[in-house]
Amino acid sequence: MLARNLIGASALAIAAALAGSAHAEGKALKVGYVTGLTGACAPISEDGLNGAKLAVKDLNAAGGILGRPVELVVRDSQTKPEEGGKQARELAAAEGIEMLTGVCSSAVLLAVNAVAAEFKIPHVAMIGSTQKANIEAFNPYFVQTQANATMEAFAAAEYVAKKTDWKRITPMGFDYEWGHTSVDAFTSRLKELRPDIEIAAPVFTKVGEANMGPYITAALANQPDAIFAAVFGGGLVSLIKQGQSFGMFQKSNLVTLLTVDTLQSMGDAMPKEKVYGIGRAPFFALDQGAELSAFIEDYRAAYNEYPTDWAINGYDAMMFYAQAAKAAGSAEADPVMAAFAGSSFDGLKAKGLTMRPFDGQMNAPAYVGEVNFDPAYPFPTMKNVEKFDGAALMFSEETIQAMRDAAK
Amino acid sequence: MTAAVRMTPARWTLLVLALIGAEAANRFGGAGLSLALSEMLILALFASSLNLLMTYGHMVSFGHAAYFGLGAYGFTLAVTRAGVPVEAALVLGPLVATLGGIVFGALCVRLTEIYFAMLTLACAQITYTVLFQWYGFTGGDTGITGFMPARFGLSEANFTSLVLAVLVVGLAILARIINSPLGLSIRSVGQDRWRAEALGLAPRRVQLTVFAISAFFAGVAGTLYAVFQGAAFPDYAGLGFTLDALIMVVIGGLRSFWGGVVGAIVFSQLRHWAPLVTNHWGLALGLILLAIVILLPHGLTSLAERLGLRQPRGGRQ
Repeated sequence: MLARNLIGASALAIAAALAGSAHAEGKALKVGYVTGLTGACAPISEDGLNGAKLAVKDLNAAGGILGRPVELVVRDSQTKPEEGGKQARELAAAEGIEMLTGVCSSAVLLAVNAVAAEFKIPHVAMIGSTQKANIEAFNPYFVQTQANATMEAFAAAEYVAKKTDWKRITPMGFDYEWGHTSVDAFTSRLKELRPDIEIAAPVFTKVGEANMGPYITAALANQPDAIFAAVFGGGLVSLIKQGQSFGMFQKSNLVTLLTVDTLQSMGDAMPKEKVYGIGRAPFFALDQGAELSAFIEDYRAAYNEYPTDWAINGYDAMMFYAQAAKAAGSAEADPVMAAFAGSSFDGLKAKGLTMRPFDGQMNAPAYVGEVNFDPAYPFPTMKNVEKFDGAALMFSEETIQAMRDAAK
Repeated sequence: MTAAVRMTPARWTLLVLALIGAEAANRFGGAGLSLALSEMLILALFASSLNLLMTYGHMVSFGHAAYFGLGAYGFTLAVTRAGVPVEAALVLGPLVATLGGIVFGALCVRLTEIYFAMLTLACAQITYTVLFQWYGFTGGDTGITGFMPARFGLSEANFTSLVLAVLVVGLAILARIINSPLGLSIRSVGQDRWRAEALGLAPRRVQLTVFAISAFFAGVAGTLYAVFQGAAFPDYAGLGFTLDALIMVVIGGLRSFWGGVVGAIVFSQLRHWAPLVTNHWGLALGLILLAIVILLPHGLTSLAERLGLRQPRGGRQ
């Protein structure tokens, strides 16, 4: 059994090694795509992958990158960091991948980022947004193509600060890193902007909690004008649905992460007002142009639904990488990273994005708006969407350096 | 009673051939295979530590990953938080796991059967929660990454050889323990604690000893795993790793010293290939495991007697 397995495995590995030798012109450019196709990330990972696949299709139709066809090598991290790290390492060691992307969960992102540093492979983040990858766990091969978790929470705080009739706020969050980071960043920025506002002690729930009742009562206890909720996916759907039976939307407003997938799954169950959403790339609120309409059309033709924020980010991430590799004239890590730092990118979610080499962060915007029912779409969207410029949300280099020093 | 570990010339030959085969695959199979091998061998050591507990001590643990996690974190935290040199931290990891095994074991061996199992689960969940929640110390749910080059910066093949050596030494020590007078008392308490007590053994003390030994080897595996990944995550102490180890031991066979190793090899291979073959790999894996358990109730190590190549052994029916 053992012998047969090993012989089979080694024969395959030898074949792979032979196939992976010699960088010939026109040889496929392999992109390692590690994402949680199973586990907590499954619903959004699928969308990101669909967007990336469309990007690969478009790139290959136009002759690939530097004349080389692009090939996605997809691995399921099962939303487990040890599995994701292992998959990334095998892709780097055995498959000869030249770029890593696709990761969803924060912990997996950090595990994959460590592998990218080890093998000196560009790592392009498109879904996972922990700022640890920019700060304590930063390596020079990292690019974050969307606003990171802290920037997003800052945008929410800026938005809430303008609501002059809101006097009391209760933060909520999932009890893990992203939830805590978002709540802390939101609270600190809001206190700066509105010293008069009263912020209650935050309420934390288990990740993906389905029974939100007790937490809703706790959050409503001090009669807030608004609840800021750093929750997403199934837990968020539970919060909004169960919140209605607790009269949450008579008493209070809700500010939360509302990506298109959540809007789609809420459908008619979404309250008609008092819900405000943070979006990463809401297709209906982006600068409409020919590229975006073409993308939406292609996406709908391919997958029979409107593209979510994750799909747009997946497409953008692949296109940013392609542009950097073309500008560098090579897929080698160092020239690609230099091209990332030195070029300006026009993506679907925003134009004129640049990457700051100090922390790998692109000045991607965050979008905040209020729920809206537009008859043009079969699901709720958002109106009066405000676009927060990424550059204004990013930490200064000095602040990041101080945080890095403190973490040592 | 479960038999002592006996090495016949045929078994020695098999073992040496397997080692040569593993090392050859490691040296000539490419980096990807070496990585897969290291993981498989680390898990084999982890499963063997649980196998000691279950096959010889007749104690079913639903929380064995706690000691795997404590080993990984003992090592990682010593390096990152206390600035301990890596060489010393390698010793600290298994020691932390052993200490955890003694503390939790002392609680657990007060109970038997399902109550014992549930308490091991509770202890493991406490460990997991502390690792998951204590941001200031353990890094919380995002774990600790990037504090050292993975595998100490050794090449994939060299690291795998190192793991193979550790596994061989570990198994040799385990076999020595099982064949020693201590091993005899472990086996007799495992088989019938009341009779063993009547013979003058102290069952709880024997059980605590075997628990601690088992935790130590799980800790060695956990420490190696943290080196392999160059990282530590709370999941190492989570239910997933516990269940994986249980599955390995069960499909390997609960009557054999080699159950853990065989189970780890087969299970790792299945888990590696299944997702590459089908999108419904979870279902495929479940069906394969079901087939193994039904067709070979005593695990893969009983294949030889099943095929009539060997006389059935006595032992746990």
